[in-house]
Amino acid sequence: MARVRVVPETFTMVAYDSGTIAGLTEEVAARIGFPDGVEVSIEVDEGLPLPLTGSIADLVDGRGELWFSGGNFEHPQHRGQFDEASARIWIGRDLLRLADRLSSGWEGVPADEDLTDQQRAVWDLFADGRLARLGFEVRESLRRYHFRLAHGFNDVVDTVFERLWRSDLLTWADLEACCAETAAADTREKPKDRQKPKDRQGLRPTSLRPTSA
Amino acid sequence: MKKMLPVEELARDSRFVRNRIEDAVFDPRNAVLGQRDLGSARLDPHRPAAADRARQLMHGIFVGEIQALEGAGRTTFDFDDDEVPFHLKLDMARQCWDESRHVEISVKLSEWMGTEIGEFGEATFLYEAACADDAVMRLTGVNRALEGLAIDVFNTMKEFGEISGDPVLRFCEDWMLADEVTHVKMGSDWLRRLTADDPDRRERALEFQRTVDKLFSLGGFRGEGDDSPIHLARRFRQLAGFTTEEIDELAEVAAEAQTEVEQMIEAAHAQPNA
Repeated sequence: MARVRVVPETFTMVAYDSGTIAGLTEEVAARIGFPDGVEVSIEVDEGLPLPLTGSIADLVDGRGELWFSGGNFEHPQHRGQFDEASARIWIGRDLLRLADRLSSGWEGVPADEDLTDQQRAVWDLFADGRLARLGFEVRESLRRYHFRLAHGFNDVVDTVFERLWRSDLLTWADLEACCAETAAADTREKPKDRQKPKDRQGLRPTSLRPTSA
Repeated sequence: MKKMLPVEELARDSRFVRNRIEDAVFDPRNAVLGQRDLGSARLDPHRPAAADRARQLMHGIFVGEIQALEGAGRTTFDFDDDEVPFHLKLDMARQCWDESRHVEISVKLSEWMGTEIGEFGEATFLYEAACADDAVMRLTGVNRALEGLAIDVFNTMKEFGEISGDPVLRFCEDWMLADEVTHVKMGSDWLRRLTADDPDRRERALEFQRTVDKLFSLGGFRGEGDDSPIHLARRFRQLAGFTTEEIDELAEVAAEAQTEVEQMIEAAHAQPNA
């Protein structure tokens, strides 16, 4: 079972409990087969509400470091209350991505904050499809909308979606190939002011990035 | 049938949960958010959390349409023919027809975006503005202020659909936007006709409209700057019978609302242990 540490220990702005989050993470880690012995630290930014969602999952010195917007765990009907169902999906998705980073075929994957929106969307979808097959309550229609928003609203994108949703064994090169396939069919105007990584990935101010200590 | 139905008695099934506006206003995270550099709040598919922002806004539109239907329906029923002209009630009945289509369109759009009915909490401010005793107040508070806000919201969502290349969202928002312009124009026209000989009543109604407008420009939610999630749709408001002066005044109200919140945040942080 993964060793889990949650920051902050005590939440002051939302009704979240670090023990509950740690326990949920251990439960999810066991369910998805996350490697034993890998320490996982979770930082929850309680100052960010729904709908300001976002997350980062990186390996630092062999340790898994997850950062989540507080909005990821917030109940959509009850302001400031913890929503276990949402938290389970977000944690499961990012633990699977951490596990990918530890696997062969995933060498050289950029850090989360350096991923493009499209790279992140294919990876999230690849993780969500696996979660769904493990019995997690992932809403396919929601994942489809997220995927289309990143890659475009066309038949090529929908075909790639179906393929990723059903895949269990892919490498980073496979995901990059998916991005190239959808990019070739994407006729939308490219944004003029590309977002900086911190802005794109998770609303995360530089000062809150974890140190490698 | 009961007249003047209070908001507590609106019919909802178990999927819906009602939120209080004061919980949003006094959320302790508001002060912290004001200190963060999160970039523009404008609804844009290239911004962080764009999908979840758009989904939550779409759900807000959906429940707003339900309440607009309920409000227009109440105005058709709550006043006798000696209190308001029969043709005003006919216009409200026509609006009910539009709003019920909007509810159905919004349900379909929410499904398209992966959202379930009742997924997000429901604020009932729109219906509450439709509970005024004076029909003229309802015309300003609902038709001119809140349906005016709907013009701004639908135009913003339409642009979001255009930029993201989402043909379904773009078309649906455009169709609903056309109806909202008509609803606002109904409010503008009836306000002028019903208060032609009663300037005091007109001023009271317009003051109510300003209050509602300010409430829903809170913290820069609606404005003309890049930081506002919802943009003031000048052209469509002109089509709906707003004068340039009225639109300028609304822009000022929005700017004032943003400044007030910024000052509140500064004051909160100036306090020890804040």
